[in-house]
Amino acid sequence: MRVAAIILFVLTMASSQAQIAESGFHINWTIVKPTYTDYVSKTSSRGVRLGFTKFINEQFGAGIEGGFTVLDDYVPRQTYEQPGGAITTDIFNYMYNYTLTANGQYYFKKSGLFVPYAALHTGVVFTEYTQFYNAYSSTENKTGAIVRPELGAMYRFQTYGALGLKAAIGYEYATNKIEEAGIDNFSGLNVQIGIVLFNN
Amino acid sequence: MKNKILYIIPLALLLAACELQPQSGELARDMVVQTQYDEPSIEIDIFSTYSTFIIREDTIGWVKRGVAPEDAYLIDEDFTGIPGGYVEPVIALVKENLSARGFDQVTEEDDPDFAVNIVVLEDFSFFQTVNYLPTYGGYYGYYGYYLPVVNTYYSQFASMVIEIVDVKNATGNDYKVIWKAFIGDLYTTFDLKTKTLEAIDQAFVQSPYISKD
Repeated sequence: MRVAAIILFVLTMASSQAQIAESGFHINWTIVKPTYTDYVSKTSSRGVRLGFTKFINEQFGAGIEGGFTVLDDYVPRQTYEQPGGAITTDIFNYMYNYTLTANGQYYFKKSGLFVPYAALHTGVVFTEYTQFYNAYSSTENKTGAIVRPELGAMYRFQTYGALGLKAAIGYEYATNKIEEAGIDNFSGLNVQIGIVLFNN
Repeated sequence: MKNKILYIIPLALLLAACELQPQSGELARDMVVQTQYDEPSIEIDIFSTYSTFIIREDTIGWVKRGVAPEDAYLIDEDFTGIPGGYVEPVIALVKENLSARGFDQVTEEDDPDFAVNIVVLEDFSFFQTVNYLPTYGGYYGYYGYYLPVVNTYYSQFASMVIEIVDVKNATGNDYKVIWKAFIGDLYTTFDLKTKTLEAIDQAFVQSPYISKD
């Protein structure tokens, strides 16, 4: 009986040490490089993602994440022919993306401070397409679905410590588009780096 | 918990500092120039049937809420801060462009083929879209000048409108506007005179059908 109790204790401890934590909040700085470049093509470092992860066990987790990114591009001054006329202007194309996703995570290591993972995010994206030209602007809003596979890693500074780092790369594909303006689905690569606040 | 908040606050501030719109200096680099023509008139190449035009020499119209019709014009004395004036250089450049396209300026008594109206609209906007179908409010100029009917929404913009009005084929008091140029924004530009003159030239460049030949 005493031996059984010791074995149970050891297994319990091993299990609790292997799981990263009970849960964690993260905030990531996000860089996005569009792969669909008809509307915006510049790499943007103006993004942030906030998320919560519940570590289900040592190998799986699930979470939710909200994100915001701004992408832009400059179209030099040119003349656009229109029915019955023409317009000459330079244009600043802006794309404001607001995302809310749920995700599932798989951890490649069951223990240790360094935990690489793969994740799949799916959710909704609200996009505000705004064109600025001189003092004027026009905006079109679209809502769609987004899918984002992601590879990353978390590093916890100390066992049971609250603070860790998180880095990831991902690809995102959104269904948003403006057909009448010839703007197709947005897609892009992203790099994220941030901090994780673990709850034991 | 306080420690955690301390980590998040700087990151939130960093994001807040991000530039979310173009800088005003970049936006105001050049004015927007929109031109529109009456399609049936251009289809019959109406400009080839014209030879002469009339234009006011020293005033341009001015439409602004609260401005009485008898005060609805601008003269160079209204632009004392601009060396060389503003109104007369604008008029001179429009005349120059029309002359270069083969038209001669005449007086009202000489029975001109078309009239040119130049009006500054303050607090109104005509620019609604760029890549999509052009739409704009209902400004109707006519021969007799400077009392235009404006039917569009209020905005904080100022635009210059140049109109070519068909006098030769007018029936009664029905004068058809066959070409319009909208130039703006006059408020936000850092060099009102230079940028307006560049925009006027551009209006004619993008309207090659305005030609006697």
